[in-house]
Amino acid sequence: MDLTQYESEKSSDLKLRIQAAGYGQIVYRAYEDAYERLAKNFGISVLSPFTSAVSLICIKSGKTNCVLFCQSAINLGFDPLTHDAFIQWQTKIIEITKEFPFLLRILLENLSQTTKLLNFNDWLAWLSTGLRYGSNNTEKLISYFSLESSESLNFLYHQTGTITFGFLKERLQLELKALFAISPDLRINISDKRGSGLQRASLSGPVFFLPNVFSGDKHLATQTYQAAAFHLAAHRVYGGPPFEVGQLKPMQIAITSLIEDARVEMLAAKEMPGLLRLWKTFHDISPEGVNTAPRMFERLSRALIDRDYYPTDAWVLKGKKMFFAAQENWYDPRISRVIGNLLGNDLGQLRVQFNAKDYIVEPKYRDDNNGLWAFPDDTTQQPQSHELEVDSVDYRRLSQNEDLNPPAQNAPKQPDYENIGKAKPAELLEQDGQIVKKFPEYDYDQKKLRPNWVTVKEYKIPLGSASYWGQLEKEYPQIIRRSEKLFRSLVLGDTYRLKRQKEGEKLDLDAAISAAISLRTAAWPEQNVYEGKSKPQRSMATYLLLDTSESTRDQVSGVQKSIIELERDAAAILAKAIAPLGEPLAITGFCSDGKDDVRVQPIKRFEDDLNVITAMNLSGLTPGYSTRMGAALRYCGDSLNKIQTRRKLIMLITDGQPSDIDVSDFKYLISDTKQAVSELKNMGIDVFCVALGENSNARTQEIFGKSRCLVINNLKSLPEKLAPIYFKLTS
Amino acid sequence: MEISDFFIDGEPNYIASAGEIDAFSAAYQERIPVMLKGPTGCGKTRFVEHMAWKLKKPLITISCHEDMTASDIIGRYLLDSKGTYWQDGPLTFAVRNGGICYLDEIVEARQDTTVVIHSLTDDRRVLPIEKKGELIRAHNDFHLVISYNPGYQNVVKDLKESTKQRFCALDFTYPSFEIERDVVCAEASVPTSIAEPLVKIASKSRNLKGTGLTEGVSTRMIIHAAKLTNAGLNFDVACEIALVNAITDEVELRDTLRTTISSCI
Repeated sequence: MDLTQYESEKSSDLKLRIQAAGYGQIVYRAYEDAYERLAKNFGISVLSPFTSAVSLICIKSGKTNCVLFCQSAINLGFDPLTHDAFIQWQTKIIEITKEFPFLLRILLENLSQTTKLLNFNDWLAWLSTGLRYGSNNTEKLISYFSLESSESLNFLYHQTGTITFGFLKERLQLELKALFAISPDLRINISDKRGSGLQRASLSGPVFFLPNVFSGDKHLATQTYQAAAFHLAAHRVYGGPPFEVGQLKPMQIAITSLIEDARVEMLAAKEMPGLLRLWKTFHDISPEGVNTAPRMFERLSRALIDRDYYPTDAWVLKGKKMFFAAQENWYDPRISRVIGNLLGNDLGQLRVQFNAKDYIVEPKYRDDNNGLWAFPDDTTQQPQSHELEVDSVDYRRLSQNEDLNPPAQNAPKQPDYENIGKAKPAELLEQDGQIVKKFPEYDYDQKKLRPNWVTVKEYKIPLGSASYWGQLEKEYPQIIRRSEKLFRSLVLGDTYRLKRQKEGEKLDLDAAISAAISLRTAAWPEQNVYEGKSKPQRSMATYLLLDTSESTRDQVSGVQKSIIELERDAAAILAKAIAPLGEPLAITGFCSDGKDDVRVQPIKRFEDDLNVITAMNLSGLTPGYSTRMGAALRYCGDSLNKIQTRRKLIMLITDGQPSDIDVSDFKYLISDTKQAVSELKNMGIDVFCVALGENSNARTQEIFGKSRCLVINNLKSLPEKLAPIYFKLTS
Repeated sequence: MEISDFFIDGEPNYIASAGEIDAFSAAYQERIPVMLKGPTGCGKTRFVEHMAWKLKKPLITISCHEDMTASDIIGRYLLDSKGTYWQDGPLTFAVRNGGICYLDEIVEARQDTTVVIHSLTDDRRVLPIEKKGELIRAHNDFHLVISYNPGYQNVVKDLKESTKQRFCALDFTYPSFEIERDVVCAEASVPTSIAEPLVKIASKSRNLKGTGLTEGVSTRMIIHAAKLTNAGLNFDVACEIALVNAITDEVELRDTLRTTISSCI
């Protein structure tokens, strides 16, 4: 390197600064080391800011971290690594040191892992996503940056094109619905976040647990997820009640499970032969080889679903023969038990060693089979649940008390989500609400309306950000544009005259004259000689009712947003899009804390303009309490009644079914809501429900009627979909 | 236009699911207007054709659309070289000459259209033509049939209660597996080995109704697919263009349908 004298003087100044600062020898050595390398790689212009950074980190965060920083600086693995990228990286590290000193070490320690997978721009995105995700929650931040939270990992997987559970969840949900007519609760099996590849799917009552990652390229990983999900579905649809463990040895349990696996697969394949083709692709064990128990099991697994596979092993052949001989009885789950016992005994006599602890079911799409057995309580593994899921119900326990042989369509009873973890006192509002009105409520038991039963109170929303419209615009530029365009066709002003019509009350003079001329000249006259009016203007008032109960606090996977935030954004986009129509629109959030405190929070009243107050209300919306829908609907009906339009619509956006803390009988509020909907219908007000999430499906259909509700499973698409739904509904 | 043009010549292929033929015949005998409810492509129109043939009555079909006005079906004054003359619309034509008048997808039409049929659907059986100052008494053979898809999610387009209650209604759903298979075999002249997986695919796709798809794959669609295989297309390709591409543009749903197809064959 050829430094001019001035530069070399300056550089020795820099070194002196560190040396003289008294950070100790270790820091100085690390600094000096980095100094030379950085000068070589990026030129001397990086040295001055680097020296300042070292100083700052040493003072703010200590010597160890400072050394770590120096080492990281020379080992940055970004590809390509430019001068600018280095400077930016350093700036980010300084920002972190200043704002989140506790994160620095974690970030630097995991740096090589992240830089290996991401290029610099993606790394920046990963960093800012993490800071946003954690906001000010230290625990969340730490888990994100130490690569433990699934959000963080999913980001990395996504960038590298790895297929993860989150990526496929919606699609699997649809496929299960189509093929098996079931809507299980699909969740991630989080015990294996880093994807060792040994994780298996698991069945637990109504929940299907699937690993976060399956190895393989995009196509293979997708197929593995499908194979695993369809296998679990086959258990659900064709399986019987859980087997009693009784005196069975682990080996017999494993073999019985394996036969049950084949039994349900063959039954499913009878109806859908393509599934067998899919499953077979994962069975690649050769017919011959060492005869250890796991290998023999693998061969048996293959032999049972592949008629053309002939292993040399006599025990496997015997199993195959017995299984196919029982073909007529495949519908009876007990045959798995019978054949499993016999084969287990045989294998015991062959003195083949079986180590239950290390046994992992093969091939990888098969589930761990824990869901097949009624294990005594103490050995039951507690089901793991996604860390972001609100409720951690022990499904295994729940389901054991139920009939575990539900027919496919009759999906197992959902646990009463609403009463779990519900009605936590929320920090919603400091002041008391203002009583608006008392509404009746319907008691289905006594078949009568209880007058003045429910008190609805209006609460003011703690004002949020005034720049919400701007944020919205930034976040959804295209969706907003598209939605506005959708309604533009409906805007074009008042009725206008239509010339040259086939019919009408008046003659179109120009057209009539030209027709007369044609007649005189014996030409064929133009017949469209009338003048008409364009279609009458829409006459529509809309009430958007947003469920803001506690459950809307849940984070939605795939976006860094909670349900309530998505509801809010969707409502805002819709409101913006239809604003040019000038139709009456009101937006209100609602929740409830018992019958004497149904809390409505007006975001925009009919008389209000869409302005900065609306923005502040929208962004100030916070979740809390329960969901007493009937009363909220009647409240909307009350204010819609004062509006003079031909059509009136209440559009309810909710993530659950009606519930409240003072009602234990869930039917009660459902029938009240139904009653409210029919009362509104009689008043000429249509109610349409946008239900979020599969769980709400059956009930909402029952309450609102099939054609008056729509289920959105892919929650993150709500902001995009709401406006088109409204458009379709009203045009 | 002669009324004789509207007779159905050969027997339209129709396989009855339940007692719908008897029910319709009875309603016709009493001249009670009939509403056919059901999803698109499940055989409503074919059923009406079959009944017209069976009852030996002419069939006048009006496909309703959103720009259709009362005068489109009643008639209007037109001009020719001699001046104005009156031209009967299809409904008036059917009322004068007798026959089954079938208003397909009635909710699509404007509200004023549906009100026009009110006087025809009660015991008056008359059609007033305001512009002409004429009151037409319906021909003895005149019978009104409408079709209506209740799954249609739109609050603006729904039949008024007062209109609905003038009709007796036949509920159409997709036929049972065996019948649908036979229908596909007969319509597309394909063997059961082609028809069966198609029917299975259709019935599985109907599970998706409400979660993305407005309607499942209809019988009509799988008949198209079957016909395409007849014309030499590979089964997968036929399904792709007749079912997957036709029914949705959403990538995820298309993938789901493809999985459904590959699972059923």
